[in-house]
Amino acid sequence: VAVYSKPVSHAFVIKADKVDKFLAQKADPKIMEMHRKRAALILKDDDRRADQ
Amino acid sequence: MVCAFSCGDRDKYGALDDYIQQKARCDNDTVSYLIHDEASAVAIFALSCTALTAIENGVPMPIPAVEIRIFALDEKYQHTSIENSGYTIGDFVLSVCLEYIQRMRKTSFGASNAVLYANSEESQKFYRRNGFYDFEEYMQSSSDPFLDGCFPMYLPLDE
Repeated sequence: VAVYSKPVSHAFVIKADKVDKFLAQKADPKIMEMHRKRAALILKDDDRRADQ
Repeated sequence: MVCAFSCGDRDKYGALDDYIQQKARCDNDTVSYLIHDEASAVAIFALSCTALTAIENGVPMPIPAVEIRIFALDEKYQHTSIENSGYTIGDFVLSVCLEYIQRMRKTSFGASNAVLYANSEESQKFYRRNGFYDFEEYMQSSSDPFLDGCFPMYLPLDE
């Protein structure tokens, strides 16, 4: 089980409109889908082509 | 395979070539990934933990992020389009890089943005085309002199 926690609580002490807007900004789903599809074409067999 | 890797123009990219060939594998600040075909290296990217720092009232607010410290294509594969796809090899490699980042975000650590420093206007256009934004005025760039003249960019990762 992966424990997943974002260590950013200290980053919200002072807020402003612009920064709030940035913090709430989400990824563009179309862009992320494009990246997912392209990566899937390269990473066909469980990272066969990408060696660390 | 890595020893033959070259970004091209030695005057411009010689230091990067030297880093990739000699230091990337033992750099504790990054983990480097090699994309290759049967015979040769195609691209290398290197990832590092970082913080995207927003400044408010002079107070820095670090927001966990992943930095793409190195993103380099061998000169043989630069500006090369994949037939019938409308994309270049660089586009595909960047997608692989982001897929790795997403996997690590889901299993190893939290980070809400990817960050990088584009080293030319041409590369800035490449990253914009792939969804990256220029830093906002309230975001603090790295003070590393090595990055002078580079264009800081970010990509939100939370969906």
